[in-house]
Amino acid sequence: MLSASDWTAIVLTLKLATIVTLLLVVIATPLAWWLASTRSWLRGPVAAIVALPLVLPPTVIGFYLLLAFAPSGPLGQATGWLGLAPLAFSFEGLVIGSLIYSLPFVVQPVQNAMRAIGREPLDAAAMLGASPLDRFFSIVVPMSLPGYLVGAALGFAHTVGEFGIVLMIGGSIPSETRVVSVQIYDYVEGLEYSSAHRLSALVLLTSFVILLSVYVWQFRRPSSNIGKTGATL
Amino acid sequence: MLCCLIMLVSSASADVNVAVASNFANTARQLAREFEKTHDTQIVIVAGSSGKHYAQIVNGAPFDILLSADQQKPAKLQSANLLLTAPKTYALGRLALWTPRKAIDNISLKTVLSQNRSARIAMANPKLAPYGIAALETLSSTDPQNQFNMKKVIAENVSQAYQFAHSGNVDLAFVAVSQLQQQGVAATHWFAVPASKHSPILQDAALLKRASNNAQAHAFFNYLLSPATQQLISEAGYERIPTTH
Repeated sequence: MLSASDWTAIVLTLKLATIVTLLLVVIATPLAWWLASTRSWLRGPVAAIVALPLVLPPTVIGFYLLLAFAPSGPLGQATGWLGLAPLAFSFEGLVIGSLIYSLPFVVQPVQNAMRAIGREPLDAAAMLGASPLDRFFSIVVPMSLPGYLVGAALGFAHTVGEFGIVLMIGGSIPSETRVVSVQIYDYVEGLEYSSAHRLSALVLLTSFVILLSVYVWQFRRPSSNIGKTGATL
Repeated sequence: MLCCLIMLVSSASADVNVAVASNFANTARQLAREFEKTHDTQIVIVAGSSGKHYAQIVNGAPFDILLSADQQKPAKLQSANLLLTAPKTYALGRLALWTPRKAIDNISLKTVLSQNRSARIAMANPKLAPYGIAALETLSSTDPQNQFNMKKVIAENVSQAYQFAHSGNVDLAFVAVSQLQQQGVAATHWFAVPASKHSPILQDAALLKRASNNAQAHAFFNYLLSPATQQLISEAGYERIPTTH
């Protein structure tokens, strides 16, 4: 039903979404914690920067990345100096683009979940002699798990849906940068509508199932933490 | 309220809505301005990929004329019974090889490739764009075994191929002669690919059924095909259409 190149695109998309989600969970943790707990005046500006990809057209991000990846751009110079291959039209370039694009979708739910914990559990643990690191991994992380799950699901689904950036910096290379969204776009451009239908329906269904499982799980959880996580969708 | 009235009044005069392939957009705008000097109408140029234009037209988009990048889309519109007359070729595209950071005057195509082994070369998507097909054909005929190991970077269209080269992300690109002329790119850094290396890049114009009562649309369509305009088009970097066409 789906062609070989469709499956290649699907596998590539899943690979990209998985790697990006895992990286973002790691990156989001210190960032979300700092945003949730700091009193510094920098909190506002940093939060705004994190939220930028929510409102920026992906073409803007893609355009600036194209310039940054070029040999004369900052990232291009860095990769050149390290002896690495250029980032434009590569899987690694897409990962970087997706990290920026999906950042707020992972950081914000985690941040809200961490903030909802409040000071009391942490103060209590401190009084009992727990170190900051111990407090973080024994209390903060487990209690913000709902936020992590929502963030991971959203980050994953959002990366699967990425298009504008891939179009700008991808180059549509099979097994490297030709993700499902580009494959569908190429089908429509080439007037191959039934192929476009098949792939689009699959993506629609998959995205819906991911979101459905997140929502159903959220509403079914024991009421002790519902409303407290504040994880917004 | 006043704005709405003004807008209603201004749209009452017959506009001509023209969907134009990206590679021809700038030339189309120039021609539109020329036409407007002697005709009481406004030509609205909407640039984009022919594939998208086709999909939109088939779904009722309000265009009077389609200036496609190829012959395929107008032909499909005709078999879908959406045209007033048969499609007519309005431009014959010329492919160029461009190396933004190296001078290549007086070098043959094969030599340029051999001097840039394993380099990235951008081209429009051969599946979708006639300039891409021409680029692929040129590469295949010049280097059939890919002994120069060129890494093809597929752009969405000729404009994006240009962008990839301009930003420095690729060293070579197959683009349209008209683009390089319009941007005033130094002649030492590009040359037109010999027409024998690829099939002709024929770009067809289609007059859509929506324009049946729009005399200005008919006028603009005929204007594009007139000898004077064809001269302007060829000066913009296209070939003259053979008169037997």
